[in-house]
Amino acid sequence: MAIGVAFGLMGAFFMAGMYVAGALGCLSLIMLFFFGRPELWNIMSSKAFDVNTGFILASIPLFLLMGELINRSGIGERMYAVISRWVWFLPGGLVHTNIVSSALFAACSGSSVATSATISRVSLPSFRQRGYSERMVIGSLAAGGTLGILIPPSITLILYGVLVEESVGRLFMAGFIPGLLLAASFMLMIAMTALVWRGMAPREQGYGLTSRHGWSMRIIGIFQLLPILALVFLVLGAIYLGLASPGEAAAFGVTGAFILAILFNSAELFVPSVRRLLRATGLTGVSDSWSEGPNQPSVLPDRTTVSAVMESNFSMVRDSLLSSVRTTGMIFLILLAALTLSFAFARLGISQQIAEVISAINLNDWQLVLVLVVFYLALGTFMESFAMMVTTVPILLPALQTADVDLVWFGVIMVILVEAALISPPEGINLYVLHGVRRDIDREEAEDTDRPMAERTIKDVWIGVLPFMVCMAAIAGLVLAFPQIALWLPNLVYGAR
Amino acid sequence: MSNISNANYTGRRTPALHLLIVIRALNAKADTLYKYLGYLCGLEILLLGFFITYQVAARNLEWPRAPGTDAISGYVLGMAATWGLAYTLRSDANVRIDVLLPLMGRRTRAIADLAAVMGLCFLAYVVTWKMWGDVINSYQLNQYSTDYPRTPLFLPKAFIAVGYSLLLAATLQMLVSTFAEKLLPAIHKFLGGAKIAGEYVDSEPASSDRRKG
Repeated sequence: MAIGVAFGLMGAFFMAGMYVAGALGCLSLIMLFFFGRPELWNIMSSKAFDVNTGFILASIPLFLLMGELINRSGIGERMYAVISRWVWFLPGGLVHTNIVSSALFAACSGSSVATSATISRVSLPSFRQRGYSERMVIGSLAAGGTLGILIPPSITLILYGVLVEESVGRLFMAGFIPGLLLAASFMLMIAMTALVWRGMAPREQGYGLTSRHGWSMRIIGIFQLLPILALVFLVLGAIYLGLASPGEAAAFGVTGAFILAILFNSAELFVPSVRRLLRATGLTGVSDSWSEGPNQPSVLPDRTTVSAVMESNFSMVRDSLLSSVRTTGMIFLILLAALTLSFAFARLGISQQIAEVISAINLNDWQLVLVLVVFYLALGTFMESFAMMVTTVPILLPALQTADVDLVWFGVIMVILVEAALISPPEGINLYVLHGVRRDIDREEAEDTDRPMAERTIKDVWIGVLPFMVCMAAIAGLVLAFPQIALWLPNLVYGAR
Repeated sequence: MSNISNANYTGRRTPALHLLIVIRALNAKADTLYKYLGYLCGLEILLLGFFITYQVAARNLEWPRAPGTDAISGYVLGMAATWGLAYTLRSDANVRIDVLLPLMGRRTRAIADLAAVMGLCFLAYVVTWKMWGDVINSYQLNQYSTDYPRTPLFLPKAFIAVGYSLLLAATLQMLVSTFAEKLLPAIHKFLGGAKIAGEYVDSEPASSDRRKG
């Protein structure tokens, strides 16, 4: 009876378009009141206290703030320019830059939407000028953005860890190799597509692999990337080397991102001095690539410039703070509701009943996970990815534990499926983010050229992501068939279980 | 926000109109408050990052450090995560299952929007009620945390209860303003007033980062 009412109500609440937190919270309270005892509502105070004061959860707002600071500081643009020098000669040309930049940006952002929005804003206009297939470019941007939730630090993996009470450090390590494999598979797909349909990506011209100047530009570029690489190493290295917990590493990330963002955003103040210094030492090549160009005067900034930069820094930090608070509030409220639902289902025996039903079907761990993969792929087509995870994981957890499924392994598969949900039509959020960015760029182009705005539909985005969804399915299949892809690194560092 | 109070309204001023002006003005004030609380929470997160960084560096380099990093961080997080809840709601950052929403008619959509806020209001009400009960309980029983620094537990709990109270206030505000915007213009017109311009609008529109993956 209780199980039928629970699922009936859940369906009704979701179809009515309730807030996810409201739907899960009301469902828990109704179930506890009518099928348990009204006093069980007292659990709300301890759940609220535990969710909001847990140290491991501090990593969520901290990583969010780190990503926001990096996102708004313009570091993404510099990163993109440098990476393009390294990959332009591959079949598919600069489309590879989207994937590599997304993977690197993901390692200091943790958010898929932020990664997609940042990289697409930087890259889309130049792709149009060069004659690349818009569908291919858009698909690579949407798919590249999803790397943000698999390559650590990942907010999704932290949430999953909290929901299933699994080590976040272990989950981060488990996501690393599949994340890199996924990025590699995206690049392979781009190269193959470009080789088969040559018109999709023009052959780029640039300094070849034998050019000395080309290599000097590439190496200079690496120096420009050093601060961001140092930040990634600081955050991930601290976790992997056991120097800091994920929460502490997130704090390093915020401090580092804050310093970097201020420095990058204040480049106007110190670049003239650096350029003077470089010219004095004869390193003009470096000074040319550093900023606006070789003919820019090395005039030291006046008071107006200083105050403009200060204001820009202030507004960047202020916007980052507000944005991270908005997302933190959303996540923490949903988490409270999801954990209360988990308690309600356990207390009323619903979780046990679900576990018994699944046990009765007699599936082994591999078969159960395969069934869940199909279930999540279907669910992801119409349900928002984050909601999909917090709604289903607490319910399925007892069944997974009964079937003796390794929760770290399942977590990685789950996150790949959440990634697929992010780009699966019609509900994938990344598709809408990209479509929005594309329309913004169309509007700007129309204003600049005094021509009517191009009419483009989201269908291009939907078609563009399909090859990359095949890559995701392939990598999910690989991790499913060979769990060691996910488990080797955490077992190596933390020891096998 | 309340452009009916400006010179552009020249019709008869009814009690319903005055009430609507007051409600809109209160909404604007409350939204400003939530936004400032949002800044405060963001600043807390930033400072928390600096604090933990220093603590970890101090631990490894044997510098002087404050005891109880985890507990202090937890309490700061408690405030940072809950005092921004009202701002999160008012800036439309909460996730909804919106598959069917675009297919709904105007009236059905309005009912669905109302039901969504009512659901959140109910959740906020129960959490606020139980949280304040727990605060009083902790105070009366003189409960202290088990880890260092030994903190009277009613204090951090009260901070969290304030956060949920603000969320409850924001949901009530949304319900009241929804009804007021529907009913008061009709009552105003019934009492002989002219058409009122201006609808209640959020101070902060939903942004592209509404649903983070």
